[in-house]
Formats: sequence, C-alpha cells, structure tokens
Amino acid sequence: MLFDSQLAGNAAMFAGGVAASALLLRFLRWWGESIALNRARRIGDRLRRPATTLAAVEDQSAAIQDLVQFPFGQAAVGAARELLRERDPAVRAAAIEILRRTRAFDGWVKDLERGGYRAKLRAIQALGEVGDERAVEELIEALGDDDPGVARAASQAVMMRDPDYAADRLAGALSSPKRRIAETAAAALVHMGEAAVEALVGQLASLRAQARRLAVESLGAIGGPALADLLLPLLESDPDPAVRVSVAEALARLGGEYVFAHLRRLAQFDPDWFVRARAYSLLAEANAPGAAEYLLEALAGLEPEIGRSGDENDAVEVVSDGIQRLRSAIVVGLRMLGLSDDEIAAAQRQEETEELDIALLAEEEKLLPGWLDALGALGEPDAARRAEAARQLAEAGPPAVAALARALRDPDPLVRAEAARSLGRIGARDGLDALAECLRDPDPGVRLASSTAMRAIVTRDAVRELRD
Amino acid sequence: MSLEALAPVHDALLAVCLLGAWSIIGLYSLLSFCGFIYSLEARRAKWRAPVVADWPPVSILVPAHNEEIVMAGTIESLLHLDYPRDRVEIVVIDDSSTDRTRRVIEHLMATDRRLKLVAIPPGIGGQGKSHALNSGLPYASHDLIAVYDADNCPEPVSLRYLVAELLADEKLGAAVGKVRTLNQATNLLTRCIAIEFISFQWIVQAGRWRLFRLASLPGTNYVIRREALERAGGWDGGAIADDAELTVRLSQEGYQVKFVPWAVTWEPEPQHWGVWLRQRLRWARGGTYVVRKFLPRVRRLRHRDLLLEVLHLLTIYYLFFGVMIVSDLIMVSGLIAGLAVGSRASPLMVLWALAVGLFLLQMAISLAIEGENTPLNLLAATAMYFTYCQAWLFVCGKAHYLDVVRQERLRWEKTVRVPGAARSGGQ
Repeated sequence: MLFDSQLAGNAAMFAGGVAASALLLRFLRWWGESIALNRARRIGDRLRRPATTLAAVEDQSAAIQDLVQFPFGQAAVGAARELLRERDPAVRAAAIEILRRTRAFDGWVKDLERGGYRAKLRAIQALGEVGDERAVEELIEALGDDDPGVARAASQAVMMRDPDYAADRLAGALSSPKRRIAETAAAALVHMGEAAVEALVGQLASLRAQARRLAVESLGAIGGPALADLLLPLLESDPDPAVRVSVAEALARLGGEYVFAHLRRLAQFDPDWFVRARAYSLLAEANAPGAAEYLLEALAGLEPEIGRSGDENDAVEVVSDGIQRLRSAIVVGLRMLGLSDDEIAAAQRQEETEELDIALLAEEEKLLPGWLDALGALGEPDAARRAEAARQLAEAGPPAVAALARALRDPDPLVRAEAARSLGRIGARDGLDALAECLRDPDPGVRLASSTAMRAIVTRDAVRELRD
Repeated sequence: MSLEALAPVHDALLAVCLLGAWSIIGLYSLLSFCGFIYSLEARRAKWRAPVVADWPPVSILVPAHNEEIVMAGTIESLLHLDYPRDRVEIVVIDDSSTDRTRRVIEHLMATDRRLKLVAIPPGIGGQGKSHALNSGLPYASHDLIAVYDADNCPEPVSLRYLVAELLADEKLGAAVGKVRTLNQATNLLTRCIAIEFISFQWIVQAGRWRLFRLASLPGTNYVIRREALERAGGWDGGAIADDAELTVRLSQEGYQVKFVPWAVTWEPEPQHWGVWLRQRLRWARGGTYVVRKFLPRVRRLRHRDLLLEVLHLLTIYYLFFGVMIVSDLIMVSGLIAGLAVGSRASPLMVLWALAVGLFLLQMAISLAIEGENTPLNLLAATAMYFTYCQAWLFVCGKAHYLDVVRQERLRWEKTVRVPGAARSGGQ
C-alpha cells in the first residue's frame, strides 16, 4: 500500500512534537531573559538615585560592578542601554562604563566592521544611543560603508545628537581622506539644513580643497539669501579650480544679473581652462539673458591653433583640455540654448566674413584711410608682414585699438607680441581687457609684452591724473 | 543490418561521449567546489581588503561605438566611483559613432573635467573594441588602466577594490571584477544569461583562481597595469574577443590575472535571441581564433597558465561542443530507433541523468553563493539545459562552420542596445 496512515500519523506527531519543543524552548528563553533583565534593571535603578552621600556613591560603584559581573551579559547590556536614555550625565557615564567593561561596545564596533547588514544596523543603533566621542568616531567611520543603507543609518545616528555637535562632527568629516565618508557627511549636512550652515561656513577656510568644495556644494544645496555674498569672494580667490567650479555652480542656481556678470568674468579671465568652460556652460544652463550672443561671440574669438592639444599629425581628435575643451563647452552651451549645429556654424562663418571686410571695419573704427593697408596686412598669410602691420598700427593711435586687440588672437606669437607692444604704445585703456587675456598666452614672449604694455598704460594714466 | 545489431555501436559511442562529458563535468565539479571555497575566503578577505594610503591615479578607458542610449548612464556611474576625484581620468573613445554618442560625451564633458574625449574619425574607426582601445591608450595619462564597456554601471566601490588587489601583489598584471546582469527579470533569455554569468564567474573564474591562480579578463570591469599591457603588445586588433586573447598573452608574459568577486559591475544583456546569437557568435569565433592562434605554439609555451588558458578555451569550444553534438545525435537516433530503452541503455541513461543532475547542482551552488537561489532561478536553470545550452551548441557549430568551411574573415559585430534595457531590470 502506497499510503500508510499509521506512518503518516507518527510522522505528524513527531513533527508536532518538534515544533512544540521549539516553541517551549523559545518561551523558556524569553522568560529567562525577562527575569534576568528585570534583575539587571533593579541593579541599574541604584545608579539612578542621586549620589548625595558617600554611602550612595559607594553603592553606585558597587552597582556598576554588579552589572559588569552580572551572569547574563545581554541583560546587563540591555539595562545599561536603558540607562543611556537618562538625562543625568553621571548616569549616562556609568552606563557607558558598563558597556565598555562588558565589551559590548567592542562587539558593536566589530559588527560595524565585519557584520552583515542587520548586525551593522543594530550596532549603529546601539552606538547612536551611546553617543560619546568614541561612538561618534565609529559612526563617522561607518559613513564610508560600502552599503549606502548602512552609511545613511550611520549619518542618521550622528544626527540624533544635538544639532550643533552633530554638524561640527559631520563638517569635520568633510576633510576625511576617504571620499565616501566625506560625501556621506556632506549629504547629511544638507539634510540638516539651516542648522549646518555655521559649521559649513567654517569649512570654507579649510586647508583641504575637498572640504571646501563639499562645503560649497552643501551650502549651495541648502541655499539661503546670504549665499551669494558668502561664496562670491571664493570665485576669484580660491586656489583650487574644483572649488571655483563648485562655487560657480552654486551661484548659477541662484541666478540674477549680478551673478551672471561674475560668471561672464570667470568665463573670460579664470586661469583654468575647465573653469572657463564650465562658466560658459553654466551661463547656458541658467539661460542667462544674452547668453546666446555672448557664447557666439566667445566662440568666434577662439583660435584653434593656440593651446592645441594632441599631435596635429595624429588621425584621432583629442578633447581633453585647453581651447578645444573651451570650444566644446561653448558649442554644448549653444545647443542647450536651442541653436542648431548649422546655426552655430553659420554664426562662426558670419563672424569670419565680418573680420575680412576691412573697409567696413576701418569705417566703423574711424581709422584714417592712410592706415587701410596696414589693417589689410593683418590678414596676410605671412606672419612677418602681419607683425610689421601690427607694429605700424601703433602710430594710428586709439582708432587702431580694436584691430590690435583682434591681432592679439593671431595664431603667430610674434604678431601677438607686436600687437601687445603697439597697444602699450597707444596707451588706451580700451585695450586693457584684451591684454589681460594675453597674460595666459602659451607663449612667454606674448605674456611679457602684454604685462609690459599693461603697466605702461596704467602708469601713463596715473601720471596723467597726477598732472591734472 | 537490423537495428538490434547497431545497438553495441550505439552504446559504445554513448559511452565515449559520456566519458568525455564526465571528464568535463568532473573538472567543473572540482572548479565549483573550489569556487565555493574561494567565496568563503573572499568574504573574509573583503574585511581584510588592503588599505591603500595613497591611491594611485587611474585612467579609465571606455570604448564607444554608437552608444547614445547607454553612454550617459555609464559615464555618470564612472563619475560616481568611490575613488579620489583627482586620481581618476575617464577617457571615452568615440569610435566613429554615427549617432549622437559624441554629443552625449561632450555634454557631460562640460560638467566634469575628469572626462576626456578621443574621437576616431570615420574611415579609421569602427574596426572593433581592440582597435578603439589601442587608439585611446596613448591618451591615457596613468600607469593603471581600467576598462569598462559603454553600457556598464559599476558599483561605486568596484574600482577601489580592483586597484587595492592589484597593488597588493606585484605578480598580478590585472585584477578583474564580476559582471552582473542588470535586466535579468526582463524575460527568460535575460534570466538565463544572468544565471550563465553567475555560474561562469563562480565556477570558471573563482574556481580557476582558487585552484590554479588563473582567471580570464572579462572584457569589462578590470584594471590592468600599463606596463603589463605594453609588454603584451596592447590589444590584438585582429581579435574579436579581445579579453580572451589578451589574457593568454598576459599569461605568456608571466603575469597573473586575479578574480575579485566583490568588485561588481552591472550591464544590460541582449533581450532578443537574434542579438544574443550575434553576440555569442562573435565570442565563439573570438575564442576559436585564440585557440587557433596559440595552439600551434603549444610546444613553446613557457608558462603553465598559458597552457591552462588555451586548454580551457579548447575544452569549451571544441571538446564540449564535440561531445555534446555526438551525444545529442546518439540520443535522438536512439530514441527514434527505440534503442534508448531496455536493459543495455539504462545504465548509460542513468549516467546521463546524473550528469544533468550535477550540472544543475553546480548551477545551484553558484546561485546560492551569489544569493540568487530563488525558485524561479532554479527552475530557469533546469530549463536552461534543454534550451539555452542547446542554442549554445548551435552558436559553436555556426562559428566552426564560418571559420572552417566558409573561412569568413573575422569581423567586429556591434551588440545592439535596447532603449530602457538598463532600467527594466529587476535589480
């Protein structure tokens, strides 16, 4: 017979017996733990009493000893964790001492390092309840856990402490050499909002660029009316380009003509190519008024030969840094602003055509007809002739400033240097912006000529003012 | 001649096939066991992961050919890797894309300075991943080179673990991570691929590393020393399975490749049989190319690792394929002729059933190690033997047909991306 009812009945009874035994064991364990916990709590109650007499102090010392030596370790730890909820610092200190001596603290630290997900969360909760210096230190370390859930729980445990203390500790973690710790701390500070602003402002003066950058990013995410005043000085003074980029991004979110003016200045004058490129793209992302025209003008002003990266004979095109990156960012920005590739290319071509219309230019710039040849020679293929023309144009005076400023973007460094010297000889302040841009020229001769010319213009003005 | 007279021949052939199959199953069972041991060791080793005080700079190469659908997600993942920001550069190689890949890269370049674009112009590019990687390598500034495919989403810690392992042992030429399937819940095919990947990595990668200190480059999610790469001569432009080919040459140069299972990347896999077929055909032809290239030099093999690597490919693409084809033919002919029933065939059939059982056990062990031993996955693994594995035989057969009969030139075949594949996964 395939089905033996007696055998099945015996099997069912056996299974039932096993299940009932397991339940009974579980109940007995729970019962035993409850008794132990109640006994531990009674010892713990002795710690809650105010220690006003010597006898009471001695009794508390004995209570600590009793809990440490309590035969059921888990119950002692449970009672100590309940004591951590007391406001009295002496009681909390006693509880921490019990946890330290019972090695419960070490167990949690170990769990935090090596445990599974649940063990880590339990450890974080316990360490959050302890909340002393060492516990917070361990929690800060846990901000770098591979599991984002654990890192988030650790940051929440730190935030359980009083806000000022938590903000200070988390802001301190922005300098951590472990990137993950620093970034989780930054996210927690953003979550804290206004309460974290003071601590974050303190980090703006940190020696570590990473801390300054994360502080800027966090402040930018929190926002606030004073943000622009707080961050604008960093836009030009911070030595780290990544921090300047973060400042620019935070400011771009604020918007406003004042901010856009600073971004335009950054795009034009920052010594770092990427910062300039990012400033252009931020102007486009923020859809700043007149951004399309400004970007088109900037694109037309770029010369591909200067600062070109990669080997010219190489078949592949490399866009990593320098003017190509700048060009790429401007083109991306123009696309963001809704211009098609054809429109961008057409605008560039139009700009080139305008540059070639010598007569029109001369008329616009009120250049005397006698200088028309020299102006035309600036477009000659021979670099020596262009340099000679740039030298001659110095004698044309202020009307030649615009033409010489254009010549500062000539592919040949000799022409650029000659144009800079001519601008210096003319002495017109109109040429200062163009000369300032040449201070970053890849050619040292151009840089020297530009700085000399700028000095000459400024000195001449100062002398003139003194005479007046 | 009666069918009864053919029975001994049938049984003899079946016995030979079973012997071949059991040799392979025996080897893979051993590798499964070693993989399991390594998984336990790896769990402990992860806690003791080497602490690197000063992380070395790394150049990440990402070859991309018409990857506009997946490019942005990949770059975002790479930018969020848990590695010091100033120690990473990401060199994206636009391999003559005809779609908007370059635009996507340029857009992201405007937001992060770590990105670098190497654009291979039309006419020169589109010749495959190896060619693209070789073109990008001169523009990588650092001594450690990481490679990720353009459709990958590496976990933030993956690069850190790979670099730490590589630095801890000078004999290592490369450290390779684990590849998981992003869209495994999409359909039965993607689930089968996910199970295949998990099994391959815990059996072949982890098992071989534990047993022989040997693992293969997976084509993505690996870090290699520039010195090792240059000594090996870079990627072979003629190979369409660049990873397998480079692994052999690294072994030839005396470098080891370590499998680091906790450095994980996720990638979407083909969702349609046609795409899968083309991709696997490329792998199979790439594998046989490696065997053909290195087998004649077997007498001059200087390193045991090299021999083992070639033997591994030989086992997969030739021995296993041959055994399975003959065994399938015997089974079918036996069933048709009624020879597979009766007393003679029974012991062999039991052996065959045992072999299938072992195959499933290996799969189950791998899935359990990975924490993916769900009833659905176990059911899919069972179905895989009769469907997916048989399709693999077709792929191998076609690869041999194209190589030997048609003698068709090896050509890079781009895996077609499906919009939304990365988001449709169950992970």
